[in-house]
Amino acid sequence: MIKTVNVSKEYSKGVHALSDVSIDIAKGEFVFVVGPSGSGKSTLIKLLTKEEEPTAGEIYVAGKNLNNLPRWRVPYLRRNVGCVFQDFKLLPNKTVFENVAFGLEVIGRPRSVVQRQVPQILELVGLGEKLDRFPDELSGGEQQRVSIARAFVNRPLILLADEPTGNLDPATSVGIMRLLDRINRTGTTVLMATHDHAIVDSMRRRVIELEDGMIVRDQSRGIYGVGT
Amino acid sequence: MRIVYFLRETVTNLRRNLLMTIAAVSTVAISLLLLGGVQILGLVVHNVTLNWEAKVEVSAFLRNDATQGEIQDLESRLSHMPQVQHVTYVSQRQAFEEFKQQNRDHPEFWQALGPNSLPASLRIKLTDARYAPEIALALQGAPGVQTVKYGGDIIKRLLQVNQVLRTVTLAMSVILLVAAAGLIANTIRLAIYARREEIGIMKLVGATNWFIRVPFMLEGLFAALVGALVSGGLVYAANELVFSHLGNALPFLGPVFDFSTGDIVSVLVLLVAVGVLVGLLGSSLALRRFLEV
Repeated sequence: MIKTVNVSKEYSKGVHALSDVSIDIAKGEFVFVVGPSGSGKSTLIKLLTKEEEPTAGEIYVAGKNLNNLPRWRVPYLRRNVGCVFQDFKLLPNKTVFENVAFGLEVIGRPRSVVQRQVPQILELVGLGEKLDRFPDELSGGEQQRVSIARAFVNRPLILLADEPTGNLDPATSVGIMRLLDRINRTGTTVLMATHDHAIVDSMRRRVIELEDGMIVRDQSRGIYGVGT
Repeated sequence: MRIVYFLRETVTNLRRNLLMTIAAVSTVAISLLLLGGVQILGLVVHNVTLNWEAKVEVSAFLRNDATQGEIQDLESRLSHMPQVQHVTYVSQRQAFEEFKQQNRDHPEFWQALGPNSLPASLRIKLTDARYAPEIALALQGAPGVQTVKYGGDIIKRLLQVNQVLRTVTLAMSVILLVAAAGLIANTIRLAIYARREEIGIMKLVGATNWFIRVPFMLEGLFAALVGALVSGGLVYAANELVFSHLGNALPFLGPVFDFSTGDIVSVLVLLVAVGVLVGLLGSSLALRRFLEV
């Protein structure tokens, strides 16, 4: 589902964000990418949505070789790859329903689909009662649920989460992780970048550890740190 | 569904930057009004020249010793030329009679002259006044021809003045149109800036670039179109309320301000077409470097 072959990413001025990274993630896997800030986690996620181009190496996402994916095909790639971020990226002037509906409308889904799928997905993330609230009326955890709902409403094959619990307290984070776990069980491949020890340790899923842009560990059913 | 979405977005954008929208609309309107003025001026000059051209003819004054054969040769040569409408022979006597007629209040002008003192001539009416110099040149020095005269200078002058006026006004309206395109581009850029968050999310969830662009393009198009309609409306009103009555109010002008409906319609069509073009230009200017990712 996701495969990188000897991928390197060098930003200008010789900053090596990633060096020779090879990862192979099968359909339906749940993978943590861990490592300190600046270790290359976010760069990896940006490469997977073709927001950035690798300096070297090849990337395959959902069966597509991103290296020769033409620019105009990129939006269609992203429809198969949901994204969740630390800062939620919700539109403050739209309600919960409208925020999620927006994700469907702008890819041209008909109104009937929007009317059916949005309440369904909001029910799934536990916000079935709060359709008409605005983001600033919700807690951080609830806002992240809305953002997950928006990323997942289109039933993407892959869900990428960049520090989704970074702004949340531990108790709320657990709820978000349950939600991601539930999404993973529907067959969606989930890749989550984090440096939250407790979460990684409690989930016992595959862990890929990056340090200075290099993979230093790739372990199934791992914990955050061996010996740290 | 899509169309409703696009229109809703466009209206929202326009409302958010009302002031910039008004600035863009009025710049388009003013520059197109100038362009319309150029076109009207062109129509006026066209009418004036038509008026004058109707009066232009080439006169070939014949030598007194020109033979009947030479005159007939000239006549038949001329009447075979495509630029020539018709040729009239004016004998010495006819010329004298005309002169008498023209100066009947001043008998002293002609009393001393004999009926044969004025030269006979060929009067040549042309299909277009432009050919006058050419025909004159062809006749110059032909057997039997003394001198050739035509009233072309005034037309030449008129066309020159027209050319200068048109060039200057055209240049002004082009400059203003470029400014209008810039203003439209700026309006759209502001709209993009105001919605950068939304655009970011649209890209994130996989909206195509065209889907993101269309509302902004419509916005530029709309601003330009409104400007074009305003200027077109003013041109139309000026024609209905002023020009069409000018002929009656100032009869000495002649039919200078009589424009056919077709002429006015073509000016209006031009204004709207140029307006749309400016709108598209401004939009693409604003959208060119945006949406790279």
